[in-house]
Amino acid sequence: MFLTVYFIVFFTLFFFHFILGLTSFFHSYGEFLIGFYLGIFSNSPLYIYIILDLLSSQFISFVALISSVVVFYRVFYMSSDVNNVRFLILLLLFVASILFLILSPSLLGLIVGWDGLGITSFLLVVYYNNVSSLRSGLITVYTNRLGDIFLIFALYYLFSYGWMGLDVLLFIYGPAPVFFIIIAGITKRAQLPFSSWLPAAIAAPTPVSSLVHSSTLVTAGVFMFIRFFFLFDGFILMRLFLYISLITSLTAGIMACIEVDLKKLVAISTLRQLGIMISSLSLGCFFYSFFHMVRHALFKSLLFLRCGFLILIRLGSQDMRFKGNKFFSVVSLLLLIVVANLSLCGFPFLAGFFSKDLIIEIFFTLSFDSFSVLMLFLCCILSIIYSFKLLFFSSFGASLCSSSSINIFSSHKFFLISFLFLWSICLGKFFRLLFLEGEVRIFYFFDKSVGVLFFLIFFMWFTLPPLLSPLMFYDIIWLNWSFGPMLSNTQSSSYLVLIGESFWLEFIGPRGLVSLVVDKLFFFLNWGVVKNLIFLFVFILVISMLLPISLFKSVVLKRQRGTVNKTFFSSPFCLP
Amino acid sequence: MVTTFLYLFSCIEVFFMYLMFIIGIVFLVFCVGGITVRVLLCVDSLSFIILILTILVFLSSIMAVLYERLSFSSWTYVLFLLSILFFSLFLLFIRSDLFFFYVFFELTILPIFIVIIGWGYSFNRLQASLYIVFFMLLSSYPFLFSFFHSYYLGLSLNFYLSFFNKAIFSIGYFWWFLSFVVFAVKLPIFLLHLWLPKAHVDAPLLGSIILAGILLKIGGFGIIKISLLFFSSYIRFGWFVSCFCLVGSLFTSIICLRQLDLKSLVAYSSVVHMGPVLRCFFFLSHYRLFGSFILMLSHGFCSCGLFFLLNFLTKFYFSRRSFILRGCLILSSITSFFWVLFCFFNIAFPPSFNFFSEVLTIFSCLFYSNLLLFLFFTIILFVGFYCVTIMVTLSHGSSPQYFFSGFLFVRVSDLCVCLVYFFFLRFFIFFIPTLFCQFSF
Repeated sequence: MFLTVYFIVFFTLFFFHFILGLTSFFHSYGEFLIGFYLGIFSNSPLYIYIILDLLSSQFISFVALISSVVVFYRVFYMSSDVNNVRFLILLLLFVASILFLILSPSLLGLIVGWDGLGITSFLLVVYYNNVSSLRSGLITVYTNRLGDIFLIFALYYLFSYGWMGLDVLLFIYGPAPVFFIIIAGITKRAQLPFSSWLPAAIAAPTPVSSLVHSSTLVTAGVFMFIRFFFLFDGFILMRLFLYISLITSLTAGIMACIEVDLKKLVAISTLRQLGIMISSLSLGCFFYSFFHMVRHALFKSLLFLRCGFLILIRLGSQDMRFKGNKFFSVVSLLLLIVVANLSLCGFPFLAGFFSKDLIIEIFFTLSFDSFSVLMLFLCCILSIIYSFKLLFFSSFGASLCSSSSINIFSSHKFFLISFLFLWSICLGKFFRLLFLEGEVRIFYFFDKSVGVLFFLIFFMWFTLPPLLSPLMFYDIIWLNWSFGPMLSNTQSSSYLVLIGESFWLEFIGPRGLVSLVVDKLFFFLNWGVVKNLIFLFVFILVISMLLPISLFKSVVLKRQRGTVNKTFFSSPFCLP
Repeated sequence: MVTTFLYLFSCIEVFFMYLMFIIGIVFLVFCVGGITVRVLLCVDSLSFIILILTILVFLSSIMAVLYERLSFSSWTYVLFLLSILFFSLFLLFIRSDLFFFYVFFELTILPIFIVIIGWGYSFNRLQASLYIVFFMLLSSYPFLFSFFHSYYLGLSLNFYLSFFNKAIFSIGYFWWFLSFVVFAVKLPIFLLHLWLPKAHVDAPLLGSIILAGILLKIGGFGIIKISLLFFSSYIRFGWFVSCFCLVGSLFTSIICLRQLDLKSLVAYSSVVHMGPVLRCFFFLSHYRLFGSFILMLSHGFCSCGLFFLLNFLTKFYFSRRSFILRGCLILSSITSFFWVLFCFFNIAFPPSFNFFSEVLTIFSCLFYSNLLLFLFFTIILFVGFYCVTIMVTLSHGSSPQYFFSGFLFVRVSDLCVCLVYFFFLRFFIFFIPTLFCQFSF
């Protein structure tokens, strides 16, 4: 069993690097379309096609990476489970069906992967044998079934012209089949009328959530849109879908701010990110949307795996109000927490930043009206609020678990996750250099570094107090700290007063003088805690110093080459 | 003991020899005679496919009989009945004459009647068998009158020659209706389906497999075969049948949602699937007939698998009710695997035989009218609902407390029938283009 898992993991990792190498090839040489002839059926030849191009190869490579990490992760996450083998088989079936979906350019092949995704995800959601998982699994499967029906109806229009490739719709039909495909996509990617299944589906085991409900299943709906974007390009309802996606992400952001279930919060944040992707898609920039999708897949799976660690520590509880205090104990977990959360809110020069800022910038140039821009900015503000809520709940705050349960961590468990970790730090810059040369920037380097500055100030505001005053760190007020006092009414009055006024003013004033003398002993007693904090500090400083330098360098290079403004909002490759 | 075994063995061997003999004749006719042997015996590709299906179903029904572990005297009796049934089915499918078609059609009712009344489960089997006999006989007499009438008019009763009848459009709709009802009962369509759930619920496994696997297919076979005789009526009444069948299958799918008896749910599910099938028979075009024909085959195999698993569970837990059987499949993963698989095949999971056949039938109905989108939307949705519900009921959750003492013994040999059905449904999709090219009627 263990050997099999290692074999699978290393095979997929190899696959990942192989395909990733191919992406640059496809970038320069277009795409391959491979067809398998089945026979003539009612005067129309039946082929099964496989498409290999930049979109499919890049997405496949990251699906392979994430799935290899998840397969490895489930070895110790679900080691006590009886049906280990069944779980592994279901997971691999899921990956197989998403590969089908990615690789097929025709609707007939797509529908195989589509239904396979719906059914295997249902079987994974109801994997735990209890009522709540059954309930959420039924919601999932019924909503996905709706999408399947719409896709079958769309297939009917294609079948009437004897050609399963969707490009036929460009020439022949009116809005009906495109409308069906769009509705099918909306059910799969959990947009507003059908969005209830995504938060419900977190009843699945956490490794599944990190593969299914963050990065692959819901993005299947987005990927189909990106693949067949030429259908929807001038579609009359695109503006409606822009508003649907923006309203969905706004609602999701508000929901995320008041959510206390750890996994549900991450799932809802996925919903919000999907809204951003689809809104950029409906503005016509499908490649930016794809860019954001892949990055989002990386850091969201990282975030889910991190949630899995926290749930393991907490022995199965998902309530984030008691998740804290591990911030100072495990350095590696701490790194995961910080990087994933900062990527989530688009912190400058991490992976989420490069794609998200592109989308925000194109909103200035391409959006239909200022109202949608306003909504987008509200969404971004909400995303910063809830991701910092997540960060601080899981790092500071009260913890009811004993510290002995931290012993489950050892370095080899982080080995593969470090792959995800490293990619989610440096991928954005790397891929932007490779594939998105010559886009227009409205905001320049110094505008964006303002965000870093704000973060550093914000971070110091909350990390310096425990550093400077170990006595205050163990204060009960500190432990019950909660972000977003306006939204969650617990301790709403105490937070600002105690941290803002009582601490800083007291620190400069009388109490600081006393603590300078008295508390130095305590400071040295807690040196292990402080070491981790300093490590984090240095780490963030290094990242925020290094990445802007590389960015600056690339801008200079591009100006020398004169490639700015070559392609504006569409990508340089054409689709079949 | 030894003699018993030998006798049993000889019975099975004789039966298999008989089977081989008939397969040999089929191949002989195919190789030597081409299409016709003196017009009386006639095998076209439709009959050929359905004969192969018959052989498959009979092999699996023998395995079902072996699984039932009947007593010695029952064995010989059952094999005798099976050979009568197989003989009559064989002649039914390869005779090209309407009169002999009628005779062997009546002859197939007898064995299934005896099987239900002899090995049925409860006292209700008397009612069920009477339902079968009366529905079949009462509906088949008008058919007899109808083709006697056309014989009286001087028309040929041969399937293949009837196309050359000069008076082909002169036969009235009334006579078409008389001969159509018998196949509509056999298929069965909504409002004439009352006998089917009763028969399935009270029949033993053997009876259920034969009913779902082959006997319901006679209805479709007959509707295709008499289409040349009543060509104009098929075109005239297409709209009526399309409304009637599809609304009927919508009603039946709602009935399915509220069923507690799982076996009758599977029976109703076949009524649901027969609606689009009958609608597509009325188009009389090549691929639509083909689509509805393979939908009949695939649904037959799928429900055979479901019946087999339900029978397997009924032997352990002495009930077919969903609230008693709930969660019982978590005790055995192989049974659970097959149950989940057949349920997903029933809602047309893509790379399966069911998917292609359902897609073909749905599309051909939609070509007729786009307004049927709304009807099909609800039908597919409800079919998905009840299939997922029965899947989840048996294979998820915890079983009632008194089952924890029990244990589900599963041998792989018990489930090899399911394996056959699974391979048929999963891997026959590669033959679909070939079958389609060969398909004629």
